[in-house]
Amino acid sequence: MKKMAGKHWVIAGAVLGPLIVLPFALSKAQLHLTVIIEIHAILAVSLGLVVGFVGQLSLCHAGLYGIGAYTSALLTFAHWPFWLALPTAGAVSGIIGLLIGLPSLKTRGIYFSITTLSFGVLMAMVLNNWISLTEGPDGLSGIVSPEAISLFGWGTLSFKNPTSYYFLVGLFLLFTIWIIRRLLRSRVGRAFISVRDNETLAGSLGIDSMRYKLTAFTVAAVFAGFAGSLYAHYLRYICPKDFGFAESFDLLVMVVVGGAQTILGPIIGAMFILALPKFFGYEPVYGRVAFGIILIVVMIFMPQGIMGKFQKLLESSPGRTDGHP
Amino acid sequence: MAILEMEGVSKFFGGLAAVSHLSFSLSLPEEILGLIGPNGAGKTTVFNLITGQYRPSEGRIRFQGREIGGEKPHRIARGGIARTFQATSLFFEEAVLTNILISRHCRLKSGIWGALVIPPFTAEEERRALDKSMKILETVGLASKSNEYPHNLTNAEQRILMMAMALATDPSLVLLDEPSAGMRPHETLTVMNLIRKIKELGIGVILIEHDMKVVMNTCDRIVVLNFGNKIAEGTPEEIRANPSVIEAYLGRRTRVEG
Repeated sequence: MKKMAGKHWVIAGAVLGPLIVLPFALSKAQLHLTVIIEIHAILAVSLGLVVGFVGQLSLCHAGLYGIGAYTSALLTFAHWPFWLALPTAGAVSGIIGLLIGLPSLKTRGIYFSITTLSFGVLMAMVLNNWISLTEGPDGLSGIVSPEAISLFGWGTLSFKNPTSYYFLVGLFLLFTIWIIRRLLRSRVGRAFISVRDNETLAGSLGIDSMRYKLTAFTVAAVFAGFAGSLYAHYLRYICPKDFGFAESFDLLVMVVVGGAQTILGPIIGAMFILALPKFFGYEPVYGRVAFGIILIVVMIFMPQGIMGKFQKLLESSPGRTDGHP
Repeated sequence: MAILEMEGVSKFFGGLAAVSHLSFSLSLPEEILGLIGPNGAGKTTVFNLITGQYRPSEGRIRFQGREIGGEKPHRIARGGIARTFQATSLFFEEAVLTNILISRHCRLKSGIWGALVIPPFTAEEERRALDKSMKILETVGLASKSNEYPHNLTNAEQRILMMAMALATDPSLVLLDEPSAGMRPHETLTVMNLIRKIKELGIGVILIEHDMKVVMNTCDRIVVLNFGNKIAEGTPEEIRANPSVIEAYLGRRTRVEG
């Protein structure tokens, strides 16, 4: 037991060590991309909880992300400090998520996807058309950076530079992973998985599937709200098209390509989807086509996603006798 | 007092009466009631009505004096009725022990905050749930397979695991839908012993079964269904001798004119 814990610390050190050095080794453009990937990793990991562990293919995550971003930006316009607007954005997205989940989760399978798709489009339409509040398609500009934190005699930590923002978002990503991991290893997590694997059987064993689907959906919405707030105060400009259907769909692709039934897979997916096109450039014909072909190849040969495939390989490697084919 | 009472229960699908005006009761808390009849007689529909998968079109279903007809399945399971399914139904992605732990769910209390903070209460509860789950696996003889995945088990072991999962919900009544389906003779014997063990634990059993050896040797009383109607009820001896039962299974005797 103790040995295992020691091993985990070594792995954690090996992964986190380079991540701490990373922002100092990157160019400005690369660092910007990395922060965007981190924000999308929070979104993808939280969506992964709903898609991969409760088995509900939600298509409105970007809408909830947008609600968080606009809530946080508008609250700071009303002179709220960022550090209060951030948790409030999470709470507001969580409440909207709960309200969307209540009717949507009564439907199953493809009907749930279509219902959430409609809610996603609805949220984008509200952002686009409630001009007195959201400025419509022009978006909100001049959003403030998070206030600097005093380091008790060691000066202050400003979040105007991307390096400190990288660490801020990184901490939130770790927090997201930690919470979801804890949930999945508990009685609640077992209920999630039972609902995903066999809802009828779960019901016959006394598990209230609606309750657990709603729990997962709401938790994911809260994290989408946090991600929205972090995004708004990083770019300092937001507009409705960042939170439309295309974004929801991209997030879903990140989850599936990375490995929906793993906690960390969606992070790999976010890196894959956001960083890979940069290698091909945005040249519309060859770049996008090459990227599309890679996605197809990944999905054909790794239907369980990159991380899922990796775990399967580890399980079936020699030395493990209990592995199954 | 009857623990389960069916009173004039019917279930219509469109114009078809899958079950019509069915009444029976399970009087002793530790009685084994057989539910038999030809294919399509409505046996599984009766189970689906008792466990809330279907809402009765008419009639009352009372469990321990409380009306449960049309209640949600998970609430009925919490109330103390567990079931197994005709087709093997397990969490195939999870280990055997995890299948039992999931089934303990409704007797545990820790919620989302317990999961995040892990107070001593939650840790203690998880430990007890694990102990209890291992004990259940020992009772049914699957303790040595606790870390296996269901697809590495034989058909018989899978079906016994399904029974163990039903028992893990701490039921006072278990509905078994063809527990010995597809089993070899010695495996069937194991299941028969397990059914008797469930009775000894003070748990009522309703058994749907096609294997007459199992029915006649384990049941205290038998209800026979045909086309949704109860055509006979009695002890195994009475049922064996009942002409309408023989007719339902074998057809009417016709005289061949020579």
